[in-house]
Amino acid sequence: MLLKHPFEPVLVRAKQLDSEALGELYQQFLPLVYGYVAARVADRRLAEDITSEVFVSMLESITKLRATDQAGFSAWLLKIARFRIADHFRAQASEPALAPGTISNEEGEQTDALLALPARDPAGDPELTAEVREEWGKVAEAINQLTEEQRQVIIGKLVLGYDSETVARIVGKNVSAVKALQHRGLQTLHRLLRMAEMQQTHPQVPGAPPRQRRKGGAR
Amino acid sequence: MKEQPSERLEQLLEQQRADQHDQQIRVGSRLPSLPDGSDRNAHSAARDGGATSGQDERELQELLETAQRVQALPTLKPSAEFSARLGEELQARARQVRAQQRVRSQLSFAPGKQPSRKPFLSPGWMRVHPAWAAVAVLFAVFGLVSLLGVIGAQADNPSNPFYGVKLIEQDVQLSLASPADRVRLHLHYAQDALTSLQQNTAPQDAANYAQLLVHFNDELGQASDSLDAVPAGDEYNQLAQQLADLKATAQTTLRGFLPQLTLAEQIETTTELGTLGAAIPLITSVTVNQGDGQKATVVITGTGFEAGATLLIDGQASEATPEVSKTQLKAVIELPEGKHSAAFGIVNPDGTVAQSGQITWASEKPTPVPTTEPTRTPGEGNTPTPTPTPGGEEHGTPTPTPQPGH
Repeated sequence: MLLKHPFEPVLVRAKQLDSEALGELYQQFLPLVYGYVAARVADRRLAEDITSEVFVSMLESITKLRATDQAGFSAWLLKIARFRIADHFRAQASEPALAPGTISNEEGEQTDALLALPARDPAGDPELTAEVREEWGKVAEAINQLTEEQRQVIIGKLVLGYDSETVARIVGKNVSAVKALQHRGLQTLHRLLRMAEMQQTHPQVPGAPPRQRRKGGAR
Repeated sequence: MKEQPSERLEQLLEQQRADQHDQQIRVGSRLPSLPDGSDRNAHSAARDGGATSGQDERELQELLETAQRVQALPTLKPSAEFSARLGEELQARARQVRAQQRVRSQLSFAPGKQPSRKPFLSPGWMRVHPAWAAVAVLFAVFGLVSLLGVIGAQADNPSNPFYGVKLIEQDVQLSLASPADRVRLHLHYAQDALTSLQQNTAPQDAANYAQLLVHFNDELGQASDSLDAVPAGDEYNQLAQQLADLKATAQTTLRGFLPQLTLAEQIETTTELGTLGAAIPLITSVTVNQGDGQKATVVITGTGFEAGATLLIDGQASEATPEVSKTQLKAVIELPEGKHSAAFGIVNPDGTVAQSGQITWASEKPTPVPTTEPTRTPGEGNTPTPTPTPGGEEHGTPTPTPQPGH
């Protein structure tokens, strides 16, 4: 994660709502925020909406931000994203469930969830589109059950391609701890994905495990 | 000194990333790509750097595949269109916020106007005497936390609505603990999960069982990770012994559950037993030879098979009487007409299970079928490399699938 200018002065100017500095922060941290959100809500449009909310919140409260370095700023952004996602899950829990494969647009109309995928991804092949969507849903469901630290490490390293040092700064741990979190996170992810697939293959197991808040997970 | 698994995983992921980068460069410059085996050779080279057991190697391979699944998702990057649109919206919003701030600052410094100060404790009863108010608030918070703690501590079951409270409470305890105490707490939580598993072995509790098993594994793993932070000495040795004891107890306990479990739970429990170091069946390959009729010969190759093991077809026990050796199960089965695809498994008499992925075969002209999608290395021809299947049934060394006679 490199900015055109040293981070601290850019953040100082952004706190004064300087357009250029805000733009630079936005360009730099959009992949982080979007990657984190999209890894947890398997719907492109929803991920975009939540990402927008995160940056609007950033704008509205950056003047009060106490963090002065890049790690603190990243952690702050991810915290906002976490809260926004938690809001979404809470709202979703209180809404009646939609039929599988449908989503609501802003006007409340139900549309085909496949439309929510970027057209470029599966090259217009509907079957492949469905497969990608299903895989995304499975992985997001599993990622939601990781602890918050494991989640940030897995997303930072695997989705965003950051090195361990960068992720260590974001999660406020040392590099060895990040590697251990990555290892444990991948182990849990592997088990959860496999379990989900087993339950799909063997329908005598009643339903998937309920989305419980595991240790640190989905908070 | 043995390399830490997390370090090795990091090394392999870096290697994987470098390989992908190289491939992108090759594609970009239109140079011919290396054969498929190059990645695997690179990984093997990285693996050779550390002393790995077959179990470790299999686990690492599984983790790498899981990492690839996450990395392969094309949907986790923002589109250029969204990026540009949100950028514009934010610039407009920033102008708005700046304007609001200007107005606010002008109002607060307007002549004759006192800047308004919101009292920190606004309700009237709190203003009566802040010290008493603070004491009352402290008591209320303490009472609520204690109540939730008591309720949470009794919530042993994932289906209990207060189970989440219990996990939060555990998090708080862990965050306050020293490294050695952290190990003790993780061992304690693992023991709790093991005890709760006992109450969730009925088929209707399958979802709870699955979740508790993951929780147990997670706690045990974290106990092991936390142990690394404890300095060498008597305390370290004592904790290491407690960890080993719990693993041994868990092996016996989990084995005891096997006869009561559904197939999916048996597979998960078998995998957990393998993680705990117990001997479990592992499948490396499956071949199905179907002649002209409905009869077919199934040969499952692997390790850890026991005399008296039975054959599973699509999760159902087969009536065929198989010939079983330690490394092979062979059975002649009757197939329903038109059936050319199935998942095969083996159940040892102790209830440990290994299961292949879904495989397909052709009748009349029998062909060897690997357990899952084979990967090939140069010079290997049609020999499939075993890949992990749901039961975790694969060893690091590929076992060639025998070519059936035509």
